[in-house]
Amino acid sequence: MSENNNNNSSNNTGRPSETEELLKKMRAIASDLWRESPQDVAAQPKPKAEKPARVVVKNPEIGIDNLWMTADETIDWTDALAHEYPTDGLTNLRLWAFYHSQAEAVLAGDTRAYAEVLKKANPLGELTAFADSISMRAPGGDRVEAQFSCNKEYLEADGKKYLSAMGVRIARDLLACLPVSEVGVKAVQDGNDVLDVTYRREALLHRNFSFLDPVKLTEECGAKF
Amino acid sequence: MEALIPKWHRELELFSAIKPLLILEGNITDQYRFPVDGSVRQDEIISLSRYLQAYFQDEGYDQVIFYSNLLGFVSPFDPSMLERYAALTGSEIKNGAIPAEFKGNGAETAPNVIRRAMSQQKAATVTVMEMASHYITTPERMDQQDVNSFNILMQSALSASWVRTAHGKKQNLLILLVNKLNDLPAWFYLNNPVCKILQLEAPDREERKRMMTGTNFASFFSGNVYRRDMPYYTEHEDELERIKEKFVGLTEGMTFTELDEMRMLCKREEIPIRDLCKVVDLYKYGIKENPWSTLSVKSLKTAKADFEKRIKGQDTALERTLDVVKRAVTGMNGLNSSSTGKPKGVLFFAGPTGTGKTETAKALAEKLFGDESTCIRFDMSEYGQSHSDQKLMGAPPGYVGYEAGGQLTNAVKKNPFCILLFDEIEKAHSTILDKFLQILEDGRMTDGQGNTVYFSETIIIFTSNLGIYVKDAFGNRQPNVTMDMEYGEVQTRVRSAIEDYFKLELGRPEILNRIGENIVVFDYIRKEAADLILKSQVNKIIAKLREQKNIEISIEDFAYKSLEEAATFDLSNGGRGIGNQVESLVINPLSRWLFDHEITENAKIVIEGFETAANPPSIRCRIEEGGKEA
Repeated sequence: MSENNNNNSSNNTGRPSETEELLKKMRAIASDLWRESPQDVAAQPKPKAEKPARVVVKNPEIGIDNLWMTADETIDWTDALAHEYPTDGLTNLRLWAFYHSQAEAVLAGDTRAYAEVLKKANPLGELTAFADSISMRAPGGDRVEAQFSCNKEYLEADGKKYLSAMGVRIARDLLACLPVSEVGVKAVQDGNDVLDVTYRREALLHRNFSFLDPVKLTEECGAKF
Repeated sequence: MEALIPKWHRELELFSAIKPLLILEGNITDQYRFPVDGSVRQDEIISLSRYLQAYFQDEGYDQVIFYSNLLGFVSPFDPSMLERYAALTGSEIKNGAIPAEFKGNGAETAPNVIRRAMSQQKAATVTVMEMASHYITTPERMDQQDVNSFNILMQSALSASWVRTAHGKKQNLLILLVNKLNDLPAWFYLNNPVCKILQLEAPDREERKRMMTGTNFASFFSGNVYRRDMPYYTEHEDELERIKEKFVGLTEGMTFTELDEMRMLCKREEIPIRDLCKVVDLYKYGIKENPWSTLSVKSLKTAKADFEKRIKGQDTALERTLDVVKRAVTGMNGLNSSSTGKPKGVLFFAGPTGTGKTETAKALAEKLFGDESTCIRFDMSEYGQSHSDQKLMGAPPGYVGYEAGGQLTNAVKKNPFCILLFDEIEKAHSTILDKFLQILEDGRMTDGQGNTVYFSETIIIFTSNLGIYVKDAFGNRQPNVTMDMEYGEVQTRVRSAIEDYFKLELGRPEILNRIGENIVVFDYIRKEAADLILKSQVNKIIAKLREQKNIEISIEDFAYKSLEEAATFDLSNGGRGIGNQVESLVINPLSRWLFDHEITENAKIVIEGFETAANPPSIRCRIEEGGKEA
């Protein structure tokens, strides 16, 4: 199936054409506004306690050496659509209620709902310690983008590894957060792009990240350092 | 959405209002779809205990308490209910439960606690006894304490009190959940006027269909897949309906738990909506690519020619056999799509002995699955006893051989893509035929260990010599068909005799109905075919000697003619008879001659004549010059 057919398809519900036209215009306006401020959703630092559920790793101390090995739990959007209460018995009730309220719009690829979710779930909050700033945006229903300003120390120590570890981890967290097919990651340093890569979902599916070289994976995804 | 109420739920509504003792039997470990909106959302899939709790709470009962002999009395969904229950029955809560053994003499045994709960009139109470099949070892070997325990339960039900509630008067209820009814003593439920038994079945077609509607359907897919694929299917609803219908057909007989596990698998593997049905194969067999769907039509086109190299003189039989395979591959009978869950094909090979029935099955296995060993043969003469079904399907728990499982079920579990060949089916005991009936009808079978085995990817072939001989009025065995009959007549007579056997002698026309028009009658091996078989067997011997020993054998024309006459003189034993003749007239004399002349390798030998009338038969040979090395 063509990906192009699916972007921005939330209005495909057989409404009268007039309403549809109006919605289309409103969405276009909102979209334009959104484009003017791509860094609208900024990752906020947050205490670890707020994100208890984690993949168990050999070394629980998160650092550049294992940043890509862990990731947030996937938000099960279709379950959130179907159930008012968490089906796994693990997710916080209030958070699930928020997911439930957003599920229909999220599964329709509504970028405004994406923004709401990014704000609330704050998927990259844990990475703020490794970058000067991180922001996210959703240009379409199938793609999320993140941009971070590099931490000079990490970049100078081992640039390739740092950028790749951040890239893979950002991709994993955003793919877990939203039902998109790809995540674009851009890293900047002193106004220059030092990384621009797109991670596709299928490239990250069923991989054992504990035994994976993030540099190699990032290069496989088309990055040039 | 309109409520779809399963039969057992309607019975529960009816009988819980009038009977104080309900026994829920069957699929008790499964999950269930809650059919109406209430404390659980409509169509939500939940455990049976949650279901009962929600149902009775919504009906106005004050408390629903669960008992198991391991945990005692618990209230997993509302702990406050347990406190009230303890107060009403004068029991004590320890570590979140009221501990109570099932058997014993004290006042704190579970039956006595239940008796107090059933007789009180302060709170309408439902006590659900979970896993009630495991309270006693067996109903046949109950000691007096076991008997007493069940007796108290029965009396509790007989004298159950009514309680006034905000929803009207309610009688205190006792519910037992059992796997099989005969896990309980028969006197407990038979002729018991206050007892009602409800059967819990696997979800029917309508229930499974309901699972595929609305947001339930969405939950089969990962968010990414659903978001990506759904806009297309919103515009092509008919396509989506077809996918759902096919899935519903494929999941016949599956429990809600199995369906739910498939749902999770589908999501985890990110299976797209169009491939939803592939998850059934993935779940059943652990594979994504079904060998049936990868069969090459091109290779099947040459199948008849390939078969004829192995099986001689059976044009019609081969044609009919391949028809069944072609139907399966082209999906003309829905077999290709597995939409029914029945086996891919059923064939009944009949005809005289040694005419190539088993060989055809093996050739078919090689053609379809690339390996002759995928034809799994069962000699049904070994299954002539009434208990032989246990050999095939596995012994039930507690019986010798339980751990080993069944020969048939193990074989299909190991390789679900195979040909099952049941040789000489008429020799099997009639209980086995009942099992086959189930396999042919449902395409699944539960073995002694409770594992479900699927036959939906197999071809089942029965072979039989039925119809070759019949009994006359005096019970003597008489030939029904002879070599001098035309194939058409042989076919008609054999078919008719098979029909008589199943309808009149066995009294099981339903088995014949399952086989349908798939009776394939093999013709006698006639002279022309016999010559071809002989030639192929002799050539095989010559080739083998050449390859393995570098011994070149040639046969003079006149000698070959005499061999041909002798080997094909009596064709009553078919191809196998020719094989026996080749062994007796060629292999044995030739090896004797080679031994006597101390020839073990590197020689050129000409057979000048076969002494077929000699005892034992011998041959005349000469060594070609330069053939034997010193």
